[in-house]
Amino acid sequence: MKQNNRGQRHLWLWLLPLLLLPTIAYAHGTVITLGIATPPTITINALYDTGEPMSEAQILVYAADDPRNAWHTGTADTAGNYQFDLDTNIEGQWSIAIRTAGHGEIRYLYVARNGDITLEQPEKRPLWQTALMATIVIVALLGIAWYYSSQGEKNHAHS
Amino acid sequence: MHIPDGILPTVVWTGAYVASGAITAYSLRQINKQEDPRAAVPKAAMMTAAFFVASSIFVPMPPPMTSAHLILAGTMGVMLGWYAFPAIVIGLILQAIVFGHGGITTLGANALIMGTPALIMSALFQRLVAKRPPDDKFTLIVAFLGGFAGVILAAAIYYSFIIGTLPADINRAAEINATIILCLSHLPVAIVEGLFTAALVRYLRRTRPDLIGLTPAISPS
Repeated sequence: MKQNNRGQRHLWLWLLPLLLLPTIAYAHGTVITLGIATPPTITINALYDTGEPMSEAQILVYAADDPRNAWHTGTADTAGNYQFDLDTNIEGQWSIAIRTAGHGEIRYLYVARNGDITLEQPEKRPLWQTALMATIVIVALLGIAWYYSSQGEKNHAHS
Repeated sequence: MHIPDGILPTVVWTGAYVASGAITAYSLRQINKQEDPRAAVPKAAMMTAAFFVASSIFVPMPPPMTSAHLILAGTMGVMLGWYAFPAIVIGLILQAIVFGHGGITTLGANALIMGTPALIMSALFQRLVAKRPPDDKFTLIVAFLGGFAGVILAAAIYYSFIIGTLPADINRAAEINATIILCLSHLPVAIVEGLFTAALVRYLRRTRPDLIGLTPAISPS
């Protein structure tokens, strides 16, 4: 029985190095930055969250009056940069899909009646907050493992 | 290897939710049939923690390949059996919420991408290895292939989802090319996970063979 418990505990040692590796990069999440150069020119910078560029990512722009068919398509350069001119006569919410190999994002911008362009900039969670949440999740899962493991040992001891 | 929100059409991600929900329910039913369904909970919780972290450990690749991250689909299957699919679903929910890795609408599709290879590798491992002596080298070869093929199969399912649902306006050839490169980037990951799974099985068959469904060795006396 002792050897069996040792085996279970040693499984922790196998997985611990994996759990202790810092979660510094979240491979293949994306960081898309939209900007306005000189209206109506929209600039796009597309990166993976590792910092690598989304090289030659495909850009699909959908106008506010036809969200089903692309109004404009193009390909980013090797650094993940792209720019295009909006038609500010089409008022409402435009969407821009940036994707490559099944990774990417859809971002939105708004064209007002007077032609003003507003970019939607999603809030980015700070790294410390993500690290804290990840730590809580890992501790909770290991807590569950420890609880059920100790319950099992108690049951063995009683029987 | 995680599909984010906004990539799959509604009908596809909805269907994937239904399919993965059915597989989860079936897995839980199989777990409930076991003599002590709680016995493997510690192992399942530890493996879920490992799976949760694995997606954030990336392996840099030379251009034109992109970096790839660990998946552990085959390892989860070999280690957890029927627990693998529900554990992967929980891991994916946590990855989506904490890291924003994968999506909420695409949770079902991602569960199929990583959970299906886990179940297949689990069935193969049990079928090929369960009745063999624990010191058999064949066990290690099957364990390696379990870890290795888990990644390859996950890449194949991912490819099918992406290429099978391309929007009409997209440059199809470019997207196919990029997806093939992404899948090929996971080849070194498959080798690493194969070696990791074999090493883990090698250790466990000596200390706790029951943890991976093997019969304990009868020591000669």
